[in-house]
Amino acid sequence: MVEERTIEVADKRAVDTRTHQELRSGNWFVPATDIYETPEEIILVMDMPGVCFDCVQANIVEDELIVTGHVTHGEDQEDYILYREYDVGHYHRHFGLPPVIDRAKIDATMADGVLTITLPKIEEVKPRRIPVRAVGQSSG
Amino acid sequence: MTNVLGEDLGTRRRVVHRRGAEQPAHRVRRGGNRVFPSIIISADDKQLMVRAEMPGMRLDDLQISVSGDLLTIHGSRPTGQGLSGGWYHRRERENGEFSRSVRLPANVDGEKAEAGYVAGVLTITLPLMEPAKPRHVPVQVTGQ
Repeated sequence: MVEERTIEVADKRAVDTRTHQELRSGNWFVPATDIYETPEEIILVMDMPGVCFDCVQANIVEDELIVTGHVTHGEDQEDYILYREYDVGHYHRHFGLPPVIDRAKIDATMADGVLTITLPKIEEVKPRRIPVRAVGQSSG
Repeated sequence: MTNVLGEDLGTRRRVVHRRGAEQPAHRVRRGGNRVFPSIIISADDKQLMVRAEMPGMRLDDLQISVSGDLLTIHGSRPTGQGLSGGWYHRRERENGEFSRSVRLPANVDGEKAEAGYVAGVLTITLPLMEPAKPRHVPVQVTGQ
């Protein structure tokens, strides 16, 4: 399916200091995130431009998934900036994990500044087809 | 006043509330552009650099051209590919087509422009043109 629409600029969202006070230096942003759920899993797709794959951390602390990305490719401190439309910074976001997630099977990949985290659901809640057996005098 | 990390709290306060404010180090023109992608233009003594954060691009979908001092970035950014059989709870990542032209603040050699894409950040490097050599032109003054 090809979608015919034009992208508009979405301003980068600074981390909300009412819920998370960042004490580390630098700018901190909330990564734009798509959250997609299927009967088998929940998929988080996060835009983290400037973050390489070994500069991102995803940790589970109690029932929260905490994602932190440190920006390494954004701007060169040596450069003389002539014109600026956005700020470069690190990324941070929390996700509350529902009990249906199988935490041992969570998988994360990073490509071109996009972090994808796949959260599979536990077997008990996945949809399944119940096989119907034939019983009785006449089979078939 | 400094905090436990030895950083000046006055400076920190300025960093935290920096959104939309001008950088104190050097005056930066700040744009309120609504066309994707947002850019940063910087320079050193040899080249101009145009950066844009555009994560998750396929390079096949990206076209960059320079015509005189006009830089054009054109392409499309698909999201949600490979997802099916489910539903979105949130959809914050921008997707669709984009085309943006930027008039560069200096004369550049478009023939030697290069572009790189690392960790979702596009960097276009444009060598500055040699400034035209000054020509000595004697002007005759005529009078009565």
